[in-house]
Amino acid sequence: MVVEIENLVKRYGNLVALDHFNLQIKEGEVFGLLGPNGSGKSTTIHCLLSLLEYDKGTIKVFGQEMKPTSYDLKKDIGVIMQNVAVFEELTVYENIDYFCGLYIKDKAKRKQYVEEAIAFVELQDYKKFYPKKLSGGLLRRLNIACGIAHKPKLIILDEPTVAVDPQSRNKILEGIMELNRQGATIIYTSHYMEEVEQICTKIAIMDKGKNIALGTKDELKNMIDLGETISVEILELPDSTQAAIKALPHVMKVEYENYVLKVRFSKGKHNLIRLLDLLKEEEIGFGGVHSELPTLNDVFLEITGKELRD
Amino acid sequence: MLVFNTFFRLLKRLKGQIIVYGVVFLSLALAMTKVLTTDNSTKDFQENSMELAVINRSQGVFGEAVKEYFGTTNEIIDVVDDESAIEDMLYWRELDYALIIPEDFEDSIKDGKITKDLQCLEVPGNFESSVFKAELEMYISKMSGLMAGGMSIEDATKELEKLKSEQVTVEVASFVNEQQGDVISNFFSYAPYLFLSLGIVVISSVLIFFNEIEVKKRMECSSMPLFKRQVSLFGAIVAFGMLLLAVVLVLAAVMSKGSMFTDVRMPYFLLNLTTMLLFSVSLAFLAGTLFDKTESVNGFVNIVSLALCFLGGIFVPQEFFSEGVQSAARFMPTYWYTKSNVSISAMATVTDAFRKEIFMQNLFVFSSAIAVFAISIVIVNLKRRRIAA
Amino acid sequence: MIHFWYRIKVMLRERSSIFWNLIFPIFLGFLFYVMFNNIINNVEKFSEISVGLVLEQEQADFSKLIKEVEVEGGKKMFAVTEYKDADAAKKALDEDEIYGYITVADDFHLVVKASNIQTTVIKVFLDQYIQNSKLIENVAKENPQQVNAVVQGLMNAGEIEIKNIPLPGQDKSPYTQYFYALIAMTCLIASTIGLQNGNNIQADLSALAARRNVAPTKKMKQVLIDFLASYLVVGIMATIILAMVVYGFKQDFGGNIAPILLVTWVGSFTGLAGGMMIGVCLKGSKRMKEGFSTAFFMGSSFLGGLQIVTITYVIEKHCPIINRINPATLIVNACKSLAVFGDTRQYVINLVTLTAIGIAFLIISILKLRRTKYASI
Repeated sequence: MVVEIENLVKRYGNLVALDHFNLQIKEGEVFGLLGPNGSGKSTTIHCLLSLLEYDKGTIKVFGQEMKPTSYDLKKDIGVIMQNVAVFEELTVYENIDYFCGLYIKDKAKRKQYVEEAIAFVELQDYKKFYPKKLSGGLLRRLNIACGIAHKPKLIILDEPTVAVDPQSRNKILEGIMELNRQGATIIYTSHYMEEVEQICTKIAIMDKGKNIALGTKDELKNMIDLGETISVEILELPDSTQAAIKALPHVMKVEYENYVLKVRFSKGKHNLIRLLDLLKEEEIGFGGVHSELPTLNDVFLEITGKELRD
Repeated sequence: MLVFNTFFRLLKRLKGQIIVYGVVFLSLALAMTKVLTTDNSTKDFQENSMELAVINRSQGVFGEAVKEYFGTTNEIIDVVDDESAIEDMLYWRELDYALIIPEDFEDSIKDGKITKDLQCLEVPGNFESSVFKAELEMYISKMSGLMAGGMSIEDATKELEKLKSEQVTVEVASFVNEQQGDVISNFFSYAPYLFLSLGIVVISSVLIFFNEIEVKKRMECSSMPLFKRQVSLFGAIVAFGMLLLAVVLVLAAVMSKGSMFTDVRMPYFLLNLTTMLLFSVSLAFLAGTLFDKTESVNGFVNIVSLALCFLGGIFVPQEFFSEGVQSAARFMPTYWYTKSNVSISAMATVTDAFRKEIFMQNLFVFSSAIAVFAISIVIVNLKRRRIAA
Repeated sequence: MIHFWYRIKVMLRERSSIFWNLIFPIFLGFLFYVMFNNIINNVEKFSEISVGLVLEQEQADFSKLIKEVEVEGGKKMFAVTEYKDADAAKKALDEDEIYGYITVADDFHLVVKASNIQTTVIKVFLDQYIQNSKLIENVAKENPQQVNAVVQGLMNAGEIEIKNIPLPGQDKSPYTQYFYALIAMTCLIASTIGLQNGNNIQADLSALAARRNVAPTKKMKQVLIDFLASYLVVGIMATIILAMVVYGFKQDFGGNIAPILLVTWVGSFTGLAGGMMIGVCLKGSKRMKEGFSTAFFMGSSFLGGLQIVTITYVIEKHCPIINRINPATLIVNACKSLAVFGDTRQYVINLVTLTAIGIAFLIISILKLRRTKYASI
């Protein structure tokens, strides 16, 4: 195990931010911590890094207890904070060199690592730029470079793609996958389920300081009853037809709003064919048809009763 | 009212900073007032007084006579006959001047002639010491004269003591207000430092919130015209300025133990304070327009407030300025504020000449405020065009 | 070592550092130079005291004497204006054209507007004239044969000197204290940089500080490196300011440049440590901490005499402990003790106290940082 968190409790006054939280992360995993704002993701990360004191529980990294003075453990951890953490007065190169220097003492080795980090995030053309001159996406890349330049074994990314354009976001996600391929264990926190679904090999869903679901994305989706959601554009849908749709097999819920019929099916086959046959029989004209498999948001919704992005 | 109210809501956010700066600058102003205010309860003329020591190594009559003669207008301090100890006292200004009468001073008197020099230790560069030294020399001169005429040193000292009563009659002119140099006029003399430092820092810190680029763009897109926004903002700034003025007046009332309310000079003090406040507020508006960081504002405040106050004669009296400095200082509104404050302080009867003087000086300060405000508006418009471009 | 040089780079690229530690003191020094140059170079500023004369009775001797009496250096003591009557003179007094006017009739009458040094000089002059005249008159009455001897004696008295025992220091003017206060303020302005050092290592204040805290380089090592790098820069800047004051504004501190340079470096250390202590110990927003830091150096500088030179004497009378512990006053007094009084003992006392205060600030900061655990970030 790379990370073991047992029974972690953290309170902010009367608010329980982490409520007997447990987590285990294996080497080589891309572990996603998914949850809405205020679920305790960042608090978990800060406790893990010994930045925050906690009330109860144990945290182990690489098999050893993690403390503020665990410098031998810290040298193998890389952190990419949610907020960009760079010096405004140093250039791109200097920033990466500075933070790499906190981990790597050997000058030649550090120089090599810095160049590799710059190449990794594709900031070669911006080496002498100051952070002020960089766009949001480039700044995030710089932020990442500062966190991974020393080639850590464990990389923690705390919502690294906030306010980033789609192109830069894809680049960041690709970069993370590449780091994992190179051997790093990744902890990735986000409230964007699409990102987590895309890159994470294992996902923990958090809510109110608790781990409410854990598994791969398929395992999580199998936890819920929802099979697929079919949406059909219909101009007019009589109540009798709606009742008939409800009577179809595996139907969980029927909604008709704004000329769109949405039917949630539990797991089963041929749901789409049955629905379209019914509409043909009832001589209901329809437009576009869309079928969606369950998302992590559906998992979260079914478990907690609320959306991931509230 | 929206912009006006928002100004004060943002002000609340800065309450920690306001309290810190407020305590510091108000304390400085109060401390400076305390240092300057002398007891002017007497209308009689007061000669300049010093702390003197007389080290009478000759143990004779002369030393005691000097103490008695000069002791009526100065304070005689007992000191140990040790140069280092005396230098220490001079260093801490517990003593201004030490006269040393050598051991054989009186023995050296031959045929009524003093042949031995005296010695002194003094705080260097002290003008008052030079004046006292001249008085001492004149005392010795008279004593020499009397002894040359055949008197003994004892008789001469008695004669000089009698002669002391022969003095010019001095009248402190009746048009002078006996409250001249009182606590409120001294406190008001430091009001510009308070308005400039505290006023600019607080007001421009709030304006920086309004001037954040994203906020500015959002306000530009709104349906509220620029003119209305600017007027509301300026109204809020002036309202804050009035609050500051109220604080100053409350403090003045407390320090004067309420006598301020019946003081005939108050309307003129109030006019003077108000125009100075308007100038400070316009400078604050300029700072808020020019800068987008609090560090920059702090730098501006310290430079401007210290420069205006030094050149305005607030920390160093105007009579000590060289001609060149006087010429430059005349362009400073604080210079005219100080002049007005001094005139008002000394005012006992209101004459047309007095009114005209005060009015003209305040007009200069007011015009400076308008000029600074106009410059700020120009800068605002230039910046707007830059954003639009 | 790289972090040492990077800290220096960050400082030098920060405009506010350069402004506070270099430009602002130069500006203030220039202001003092422009304002006080004439006063300092002339040791004391003496300009003729303007006085009015209303001769209701002819007094040619007195009239001539008051117009011709000189001070050291050959300058006239009074600028005399004759008025035809008291009303004209009173008007001139009201309009501040004269400090006072003398009505000469059977006796002398002086009318003034205020009690100050100029009116004291006028009064003393008149008293001496009256007393000398009375003295000779009395002698003429009681011992007329001695009148010549008395007059001769009065004139010979000019040969008696009151010799000034020079103080060991070379500096003679009270206005140089403004420059000492400027040096003190320059040293204490380093607190703004110390504040940054304190803020930049606390994980709950910025993401940058959090990143530094999760690194394997010990926090104390990072703090020490930052402190030393900052100290080097602020020390050099303070040295530049001192050089500016000595060579640009021509204040030589009584020829004691080396000891004053030492005071400057020790003062900068204290300022830097003070700022760090504020950053580390105070809980609050960045703005509030900046406010405290400004309050620290402005307040300390004020109490050291930056705005009003005589404040230290007033404090000495009412609350001397402040003079013993206020960093700005310690710096000013260290300069003054050497430059004015040539007193090495006082210099050493001030220097040692200043060092002790700086070390205390640093120790408090380190202890607080070591014990810091964050309840929230």
